[in-house]
Amino acid sequence: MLTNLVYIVGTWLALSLLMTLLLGSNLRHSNFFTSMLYLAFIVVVGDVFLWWFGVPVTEIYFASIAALAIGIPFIIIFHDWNAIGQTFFLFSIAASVVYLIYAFLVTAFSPVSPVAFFISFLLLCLETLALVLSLTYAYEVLDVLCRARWRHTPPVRLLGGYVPMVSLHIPAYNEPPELVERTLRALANLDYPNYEVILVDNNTPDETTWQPLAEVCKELGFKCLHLDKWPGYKSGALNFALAMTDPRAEIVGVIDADYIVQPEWLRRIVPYFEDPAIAFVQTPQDYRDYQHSHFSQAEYDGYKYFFALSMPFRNERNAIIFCGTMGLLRKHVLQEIGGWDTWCITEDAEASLRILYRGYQALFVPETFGRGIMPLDFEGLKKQRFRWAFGGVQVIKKHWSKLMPWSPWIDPDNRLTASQRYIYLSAGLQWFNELLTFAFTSMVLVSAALTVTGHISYLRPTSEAFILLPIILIGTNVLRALWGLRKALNLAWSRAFAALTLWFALTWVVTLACIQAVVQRAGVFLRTPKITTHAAWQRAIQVTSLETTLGSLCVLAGIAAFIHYPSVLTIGLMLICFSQAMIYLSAPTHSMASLEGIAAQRAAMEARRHEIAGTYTNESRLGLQLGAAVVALLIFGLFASLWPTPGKLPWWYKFLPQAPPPAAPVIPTLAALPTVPIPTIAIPTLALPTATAFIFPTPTAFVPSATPLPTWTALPSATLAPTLPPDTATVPPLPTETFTLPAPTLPPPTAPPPSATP
Amino acid sequence: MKDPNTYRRQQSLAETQPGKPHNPGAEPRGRERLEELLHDARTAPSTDLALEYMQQAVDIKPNDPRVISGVQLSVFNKLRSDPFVAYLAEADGRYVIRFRNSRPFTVPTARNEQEYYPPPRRTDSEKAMAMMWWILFGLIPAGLGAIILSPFAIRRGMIGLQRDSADPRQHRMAWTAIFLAFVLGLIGLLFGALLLLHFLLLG
Repeated sequence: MLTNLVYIVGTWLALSLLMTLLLGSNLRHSNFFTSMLYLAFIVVVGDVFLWWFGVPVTEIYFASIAALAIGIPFIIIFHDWNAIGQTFFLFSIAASVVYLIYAFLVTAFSPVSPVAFFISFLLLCLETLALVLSLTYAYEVLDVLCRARWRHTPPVRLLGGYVPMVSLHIPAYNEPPELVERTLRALANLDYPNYEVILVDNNTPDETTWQPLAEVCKELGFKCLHLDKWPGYKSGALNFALAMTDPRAEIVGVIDADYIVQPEWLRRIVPYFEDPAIAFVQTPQDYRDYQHSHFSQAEYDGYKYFFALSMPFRNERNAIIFCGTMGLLRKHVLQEIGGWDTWCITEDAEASLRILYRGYQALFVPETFGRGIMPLDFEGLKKQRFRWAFGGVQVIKKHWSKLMPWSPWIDPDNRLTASQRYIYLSAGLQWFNELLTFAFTSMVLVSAALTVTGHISYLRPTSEAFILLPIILIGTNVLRALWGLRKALNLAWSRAFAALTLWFALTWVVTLACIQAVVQRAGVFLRTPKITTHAAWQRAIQVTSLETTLGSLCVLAGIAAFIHYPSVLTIGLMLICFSQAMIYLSAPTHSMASLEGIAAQRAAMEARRHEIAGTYTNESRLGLQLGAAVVALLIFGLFASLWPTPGKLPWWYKFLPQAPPPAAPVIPTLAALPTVPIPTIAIPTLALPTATAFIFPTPTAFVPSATPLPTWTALPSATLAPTLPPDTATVPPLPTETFTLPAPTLPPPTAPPPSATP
Repeated sequence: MKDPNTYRRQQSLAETQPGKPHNPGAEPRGRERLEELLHDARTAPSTDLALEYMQQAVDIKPNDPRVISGVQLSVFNKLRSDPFVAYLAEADGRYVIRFRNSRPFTVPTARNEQEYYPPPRRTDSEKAMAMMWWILFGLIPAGLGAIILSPFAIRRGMIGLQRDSADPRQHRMAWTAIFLAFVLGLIGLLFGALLLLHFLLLG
């Protein structure tokens, strides 16, 4: 039943995905009866398909009734979404749950050795986490693109009699004077009568860099502070600027030093503060000069995704973040929370959580009022993403207790709603998706290594159902991410694909950031090297050396496994290796692509390099440590092959969800491998390239029709007991080594919360 | 040579204060004196002298909006010719700074004290609660970690119940930690039992 349920749910998911890709964002209408009708349509079409393929009618019938019954409350809960989004999300959850139950039963009740169970269980945990994270991504994308009704849309407000004083703070560190001067002159043109500007230059070592800015400030009537040996980086500087803010100011704004702000910004945004509950208003961070290369376009699309999709999703639940630039805050609220946190390196996002904790409201106005400069090479992007990921995990480390479901019971002062807690928690945990990807890559590499060294065994029994659903789920994730990019930003497939691979390219650096943020107590703020002696292309390769190594290893491992033991199984393994390789090899590809048109932008690039203080200089060390972890895992796997295998059939194998295959494939064991010809006849003809390789130890599995290999007798302890009852049946020799075929996760990407540079 | 730009202990901050410590008994007198200082600062012939007056005003009433406003005015007047400000220390809601070739001055931070992180000391309930992450992590190796850690978390929670009983938040947190540790421990036991089944299979 469960196996068929896997097929049934997988079919429904595939159908609903197809419909979502075709029509998902076009339908702006939501109605209970339409939704039920659409759900029934998908179910019936899927059922006909399944019936045609021979799935038992009774099982289809009961599954369909269950789907419609569960669909009713589901549609009521998600009544603001259109029918397509509701059905797709319903089947995404159903497929994930069914898969996890199936995987749990197979893991728990397959008669394998304790070591094999131990490793299988680890894999199951990784799969669980990956699917949970995947559902959080799906929820976010569908909530925006399939939403029929918006409830928290900011109304347009015009400047009336309320003209409070605004203090604009511009933190700067080692910025080229001409860049900041443009920012200052743009601010001088603001169409608002009551504001001050404070330029806070912190710790810039060279006086000739900041002195010209002091002159510009004097000319424009702005205030200028040069802070010497000031602690707390950007937060520390902004805190002092807050102390130096005019007491008449009611609103504080923060602008990055490279932002050119449009004159109407304050006039358009300040009126929202007439509502005393509003604590901060954020407008999108936007960028200029991105058309000169494909890399910059991909980078731009990646940034835009956050403001086109994630922020509206958050805004609907009053859970936006303050992004560190192009945002305004109420001054007394900032003073009330104690200013900017100097411990956290994404102090802007951290402050937003503390503000919302006090019950204030926040607003996202989806209209661009200023544009800055993006990192123009891959190295700069890596550093920026490292800081965001590091800071994101820091926020979770500090505030996790405020985000738990029971938190309001423990702390009555906590005024975060359930949605706010969910959004902040899931956003923090989503950073770990890349770490999960790395864990899967490690397991794939270990599997390939075991295959190459001849230690072929089967860690977790696989079957068609076990392969089919992960393929559908992975495909769903990738296609959903592409669809999200395309629809949210109105992109062509090629540009959406480029943006997606750029997210993949950052997998490694986010992995490092997550690990470091978990183990380190404080943020890392080491200087970026200012001078490079290498040629640009050499540098581009050098900064992605670890990703290149990892990706190349995956390619080599896949090819080696196939060459050593060509079979359907190793083709599957090779494909998985290649998919993991694609994730990591995206990094050198984009790094090289970032060289395109770079000469024309060299000045801007250098400027940005200065701005992005902070580095992940421990990358090599951490890379070595992670490499050592993979080697340790490999050694563990090899030792696991020495563990004794079960000698008899347990009573609890009946809990396995799938009946054993009628003709068990025979896989050569280690001893037999050198003498066995290429085992093409050993693998049964399957409709899918599955890895049905585990010998299910039931008597029916060993009926004489199971054609033994000519060398069957050469197998060390192959005992056939076709006529024995189950309780006395002898289990044929389980392979003594492990062979892992984990479902790899292609990280369903999300644009991380942007924040300003230190 | 001693580096002046480092954090100093709070006691040493008094050394950097130009004014005398605040005396609560002299409140009315202080108020008169404050008015006098604010007036003197406004009418001072030089920015340095204005800063001196404002410094004394900060010592009397640092959070008074007029004092904060006066300090800002004096500081920015001083910085108009040279925007250099060096950090010396921060404590008691004040920055201790100096200008180029000047003696130290104090400036009100004009904001509340921030929640300190990482906290210097955790209560037993908080420790028990923080163990949840380790117990969750301990579920991954077939529940073994959870089986080992949950009794410790429950014990820590019980200690928290006894020690922090006066604080209802800590009390509730301790109960939550105990409940969670118990549930996660049970899940760990289930997973551990499955591992045991596979060991029995060998026999």
